[in-house]
Amino acid sequence: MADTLLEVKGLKTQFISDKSRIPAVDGVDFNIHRGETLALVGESGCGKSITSLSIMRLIPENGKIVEGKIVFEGEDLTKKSEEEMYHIRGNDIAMIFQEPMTSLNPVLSIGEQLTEGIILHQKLTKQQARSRAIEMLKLVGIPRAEEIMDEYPHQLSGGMRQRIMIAMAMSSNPKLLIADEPTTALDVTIQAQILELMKELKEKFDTSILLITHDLGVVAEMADRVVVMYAGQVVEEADVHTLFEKPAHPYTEGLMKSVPTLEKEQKRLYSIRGIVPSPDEFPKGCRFAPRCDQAMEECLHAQPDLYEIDAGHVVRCFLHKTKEREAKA
Amino acid sequence: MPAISPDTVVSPLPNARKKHQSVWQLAVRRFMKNKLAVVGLITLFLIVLISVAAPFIATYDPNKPDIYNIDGEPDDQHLLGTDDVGRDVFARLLYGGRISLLVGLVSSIMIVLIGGFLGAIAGYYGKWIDSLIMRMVDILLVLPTLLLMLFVVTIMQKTTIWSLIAVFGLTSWPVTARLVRGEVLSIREREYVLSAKAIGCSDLRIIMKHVLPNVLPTIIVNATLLMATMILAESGLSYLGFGVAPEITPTWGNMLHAASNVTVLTDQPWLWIPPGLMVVLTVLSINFIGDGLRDAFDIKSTRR
Repeated sequence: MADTLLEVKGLKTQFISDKSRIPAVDGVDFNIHRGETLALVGESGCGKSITSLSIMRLIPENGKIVEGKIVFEGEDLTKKSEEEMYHIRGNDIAMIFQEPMTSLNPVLSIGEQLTEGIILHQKLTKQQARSRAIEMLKLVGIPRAEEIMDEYPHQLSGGMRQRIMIAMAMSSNPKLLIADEPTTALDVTIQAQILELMKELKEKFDTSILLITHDLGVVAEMADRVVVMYAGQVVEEADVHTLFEKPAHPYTEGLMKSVPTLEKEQKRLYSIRGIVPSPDEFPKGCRFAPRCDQAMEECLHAQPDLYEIDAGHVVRCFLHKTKEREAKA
Repeated sequence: MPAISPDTVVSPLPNARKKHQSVWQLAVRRFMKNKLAVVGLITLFLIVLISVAAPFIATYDPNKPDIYNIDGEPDDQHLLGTDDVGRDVFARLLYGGRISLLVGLVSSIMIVLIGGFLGAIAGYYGKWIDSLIMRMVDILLVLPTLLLMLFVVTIMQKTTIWSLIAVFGLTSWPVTARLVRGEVLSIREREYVLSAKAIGCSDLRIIMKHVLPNVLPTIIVNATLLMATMILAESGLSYLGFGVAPEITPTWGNMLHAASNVTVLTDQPWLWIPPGLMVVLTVLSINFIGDGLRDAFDIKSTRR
């Protein structure tokens, strides 16, 4: 097995208000190997983004990692001081966000924003940082890189801005890139280009990627392994081929069925009924049970564990409990 | 690995070709289109110019009494006559401008520094720091500013220019602090602040480099309007006789103090009309400039 870069163990992140504790992330485990792309999939509100922000230690106010470990290169990030995190963020772990239109500061030139991280982490002079930034801009396929350095975000299109965000994130050669829905806000043609670019850079710099998305097309395109999250928990984890061929959890199946296809003629696009329950009203049993077509009596009372049904394929569903027994026997 | 060819990239909009335009350059351009603001700017510039160049324009010492020439009417020697101890009113008017403008400028800078700093801290860090600073603001705001100023001036007994500036600075920052706090509160939640954190910026760096430049337009507009307010406050206090003593330095305000005497008011208009006019003109210009700046920085007018 390839060596592990990041290991998230039993991560619990809660939002604490006067009256209640809201478990946004509730015991999540996964790991990312070097050079691997792991996709974190799920509907809005299932805790994907909070998981990634927990890794960066950038959870919004009132949020807190209450339990679990985030082991990055052998060191637990949850135990790091804020000071130490400054050196990790942007340097070892970089992040790109969903909205390229708002992720750049409108009053600073592209050059100022690009060189900021470079100067911060690589101890280069302004001049050196500038040439490094121009090099990065060329690498992400931006024409007239020198000129763009002195332009401002409002002069650029969404696709260009996302390229700049990627250039910014990759400029310090991070070991892990967290991409939070990097293509959601872009139109389809630009999406493909950005994904292609991320793949290329990943190869070139040997970066691991944690890709957060709800788009299964993007998953199929990019990921090596997939972690499906539902209501703050991991419900299924498998390599990308297994997941698409043999989705085991009813939720994963539902997600797959919700993608429109050309092959089969469908009158209506399938959709999973209901919505993700909000974290303060999770059901007592399996969290997906109220929306599940295959829910059994037992699902309403007890929470299923993660069952390993195949090597590297785990599922949180009672339907597969027996399979695990068989596999072990 | 295939290189990414540049033509796969969407070419930027044609207007992006027009050199790099920062928010500031755009604002300057919009400001220049505003006639009233430009007139204000020119007027203020002239007022500043004659005040700074006072020694070269005035032929008399503004503080030297001339007992042979008391209450003189305007003539070709004394353009605006002389006051009750025979000082040249024209010279005092020019020198007075220096003090009024200085008080306005320095105290508004001071207010903006204090208010801006406290507002930024309160807005960015929130929690108890925010509560503490905002309660201080609340307390200062419920006290009538003029009375507060009078109170402090009375305690200090002898008023100099700098003590006056200190009084203004220490009593008038709450409004600015509240304004800046509000702006910072909204900017703090923007995605580019998160993305700056994600590249490893420290809090201080984020406040200085990412938050403040975005609040700066608000601060500048506020500072401009404050300057007008402070000039008025100086005039008001001096008129009431609590400002800088007329023997030390002339200011427009303490020149106006002469008008508290009814005979002066009716019979010697040259003593109080000129300083009054200067105050009105200065405050009006500054307010026009402030309005112009506000429009120039207004995001909604960006596409004009």
